[in-house]
Amino acid sequence: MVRLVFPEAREWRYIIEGLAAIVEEASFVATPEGLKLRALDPGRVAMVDLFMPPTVFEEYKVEAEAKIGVSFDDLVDVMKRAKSGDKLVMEVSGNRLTVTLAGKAERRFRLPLLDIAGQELPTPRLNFTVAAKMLSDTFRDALKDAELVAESVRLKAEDENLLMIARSDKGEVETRFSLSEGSLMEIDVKEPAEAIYGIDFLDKIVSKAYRVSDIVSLRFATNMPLELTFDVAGGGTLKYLLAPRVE
Amino acid sequence: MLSKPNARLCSQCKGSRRLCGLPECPILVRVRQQLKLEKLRETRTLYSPTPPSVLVGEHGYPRVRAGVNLPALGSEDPRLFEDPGAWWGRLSLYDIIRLRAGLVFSYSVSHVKAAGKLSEAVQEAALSLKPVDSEAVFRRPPTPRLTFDPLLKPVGPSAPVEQLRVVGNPAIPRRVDQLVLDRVKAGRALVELYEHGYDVYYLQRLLSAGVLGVEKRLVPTRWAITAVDKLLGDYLLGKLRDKPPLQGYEVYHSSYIGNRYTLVLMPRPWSMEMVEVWMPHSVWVPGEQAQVYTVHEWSDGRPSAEDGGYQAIRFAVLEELSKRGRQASVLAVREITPEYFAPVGNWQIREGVRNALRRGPVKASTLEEALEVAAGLLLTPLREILSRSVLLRHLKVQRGLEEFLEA
Repeated sequence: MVRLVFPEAREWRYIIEGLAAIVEEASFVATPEGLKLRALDPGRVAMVDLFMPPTVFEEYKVEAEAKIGVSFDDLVDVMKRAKSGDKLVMEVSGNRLTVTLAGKAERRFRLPLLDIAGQELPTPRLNFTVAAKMLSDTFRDALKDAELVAESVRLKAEDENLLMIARSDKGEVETRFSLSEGSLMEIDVKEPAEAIYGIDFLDKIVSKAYRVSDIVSLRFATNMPLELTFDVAGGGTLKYLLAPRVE
Repeated sequence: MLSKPNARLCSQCKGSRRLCGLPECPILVRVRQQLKLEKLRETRTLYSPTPPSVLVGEHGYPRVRAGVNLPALGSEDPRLFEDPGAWWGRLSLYDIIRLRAGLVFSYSVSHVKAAGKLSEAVQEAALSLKPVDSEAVFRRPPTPRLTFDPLLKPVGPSAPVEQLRVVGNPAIPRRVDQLVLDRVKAGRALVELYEHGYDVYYLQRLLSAGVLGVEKRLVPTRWAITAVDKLLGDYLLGKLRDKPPLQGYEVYHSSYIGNRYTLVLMPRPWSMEMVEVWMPHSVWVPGEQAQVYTVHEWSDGRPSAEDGGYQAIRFAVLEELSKRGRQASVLAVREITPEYFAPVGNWQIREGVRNALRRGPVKASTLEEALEVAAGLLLTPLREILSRSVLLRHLKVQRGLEEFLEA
């Protein structure tokens, strides 16, 4: 038996949309320690990693570890029906997931559980040399600018600055984030780093996940994956890992 | 008298702009004379077997023209008037135009939702797997003309009808009848019928005639064609998700009526790109410079642009991959030469790709090797394709995440 109550269904909708940006079908794993989901996109270029500890829920009842396999297309459709102020209840029994949106009326959606064969993904151990924190809106805007000219962006960190550079025969767009001008909230550069990432993926992720959190934390290193972390109020995290392009 | 039309001009003109300077289009005149289309000017009623062939226009939506195509001339087997699978590789472009010019589009105008008695006849005909005798009483005699469209088969003379009746017995499969009566959602019905072995052309006809779905409505044929490709393509892609990639590189090729398809299949998770090259002087490309147009999708299966030709290729490729139970990353190059002076519909794209895949591959063990094979089949220089292909660049530079996950 699994029963989870989340106070704000809207917020949960944004999290689900953030997951749906990467995966079509995947399994949540509910354990007494929290709710987790870790999955690769079908092209094996990006990974999403969600962790929601019991503290973010109003009620968290998981007696034994349970796998909750869902189709995100369907789940997004259901979550889009959430109105502000609705409370969300998720229950698993038998081979069904029941999603209840409780507002003025109690609306109950029953979805079949999917049996998804997937290998356990290891926790990545990567040595990032750069860590930065900024408003997720700022990052999203910079991507939108870069998209005008190119299909990939170069992230470059040196001293106290982070640069996003997009270049093609159409032109060049450069965005500078810095502590002194306030566009960065934190930055820690162990050694200067430079890496290229596809805009398609970045944009897909950020255009959904920015609604989960106002703040995004970035970590990367030269020719290494980029990690984007969005914190969920109450201690949860929605994390993405995106493989680099190496030209 | 100009005996052989200049393909370059014809492709721009399509019979309507008199670019060759002659008072009338020599191609259409020839078709008209050969077929004695003028005879149609006196026709008030027509009794003949429709292949079946139905057409729903899009102009004026939601009030559209809907009707059946009835053979008025020619002594061919009625099936041949609408049989893309049989046309491919056998008929010349001119044969196809001539064939289609002998069909009279017998239509009435109705609202897509409020199908009247006349559209009922259209639906009855559409459901049939075999030619079915029909009778049209025209309000005014057919105008002898021909129109071309990139998605649709050529449309011949047309006339509004006062009466349209299906006289013969339509051959309707029981399963289809049941799905129609049960008001199964159109998407589900199409998938189910496809799995039962009905070909896309029959499914296009059913969707267009508005017999499927909960709320029956006519669907303009151009929309129905792409809708079926997209829907079945998405369905087939869903089934491929947990399948392994190909084992090596494969190159396929086919060529017909000025459309050359070269496909490179790569051992990777699903993604696809179409590079469409309109060779100089081909349909709609008057200049000396080839025009290149690309559409791609990554593994998420969402194309970067809406394009009926792309969807036709995608469907044909996914159909083959799903038979083999293998994923692949696919580069599909379509080259259109001036020989394709009039568009005859995107069935030739679907059939061109199907035929290329049916012929079997040239195998290669590296991407470079595969591209070299492709270069030998392409008219366009390979570097031109390389510089335009987002997919090839992506495959070359994008690293997979898994190599970073291993401890």
